[in-house]
Amino acid sequence: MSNRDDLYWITQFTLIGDNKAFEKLIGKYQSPIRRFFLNLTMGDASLSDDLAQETFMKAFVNIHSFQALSNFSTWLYRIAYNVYYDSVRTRKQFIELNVPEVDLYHQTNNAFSAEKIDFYKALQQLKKEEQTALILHYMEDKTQKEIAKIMNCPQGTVKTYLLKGRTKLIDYLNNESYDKK
Amino acid sequence: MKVMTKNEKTEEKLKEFFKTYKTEIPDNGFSSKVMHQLPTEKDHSWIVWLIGAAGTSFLLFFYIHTGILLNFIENLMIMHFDTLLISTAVFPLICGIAILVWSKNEKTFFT
Repeated sequence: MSNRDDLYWITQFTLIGDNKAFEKLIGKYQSPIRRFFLNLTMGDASLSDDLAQETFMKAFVNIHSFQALSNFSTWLYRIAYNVYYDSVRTRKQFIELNVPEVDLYHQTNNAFSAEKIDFYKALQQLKKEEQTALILHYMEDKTQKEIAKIMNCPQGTVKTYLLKGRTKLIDYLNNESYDKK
Repeated sequence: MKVMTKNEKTEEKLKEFFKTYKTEIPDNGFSSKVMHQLPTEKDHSWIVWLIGAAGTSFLLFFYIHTGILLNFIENLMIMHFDTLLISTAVFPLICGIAILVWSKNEKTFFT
């Protein structure tokens, strides 16, 4: 399904108020957006679903401001990115806990991520921005230009995040003998 | 056979690593749950219908009162049948063809 379908559904929704069209958009993007959050929250399925829900709600309220200057997908990821960082800021204010400990606690408590602990351990070697850039690039197949739009930073900064993240991750994988597994 | 550089090997390794852990998450009622939680806007479409009905009533009253409507009906009576047919049929015909062409290109139009 292409960006053309997205634009058709957005038009249906904004002009006629057809909620079914918006439901189709949710159906198409629920998996990538929930996966994006699941990876950023190190496998916390419950938090990921809450954040995904908030993302779609914000998209619903602000869809009239979507000007099709970029793909709908990029626009939606931009909202998701902001929702995630708002939640990180809020959590930092209220919980003074060791984040990796909290993340590991949640990882073991949901079915999605039990087998992905290696993956999350590897991601935890990176800074949050590097994690985001790498997940968007390798997992969600976004280009550097799209990532720059999503993270609202210059393309050069994205390149740096990717380069640093790549180096750290590959070092970790080499140390953990990822190839031999 | 092309020999891969160190960078290319790294890139391949990372792509493979992320691909291994890339999973599709089943909907399991997530979409409908979100749809139920969406903020509902009050339906103000009745205002459009009210203004439309008021405008039509006013125009109808005006046309009847000034005799324009009667004059129009008289003109219809003396108009040639073929002219009348063309003038009334051409517009919906063009619209019908346009919708058909568009719906053929856009497969989701009637679904």
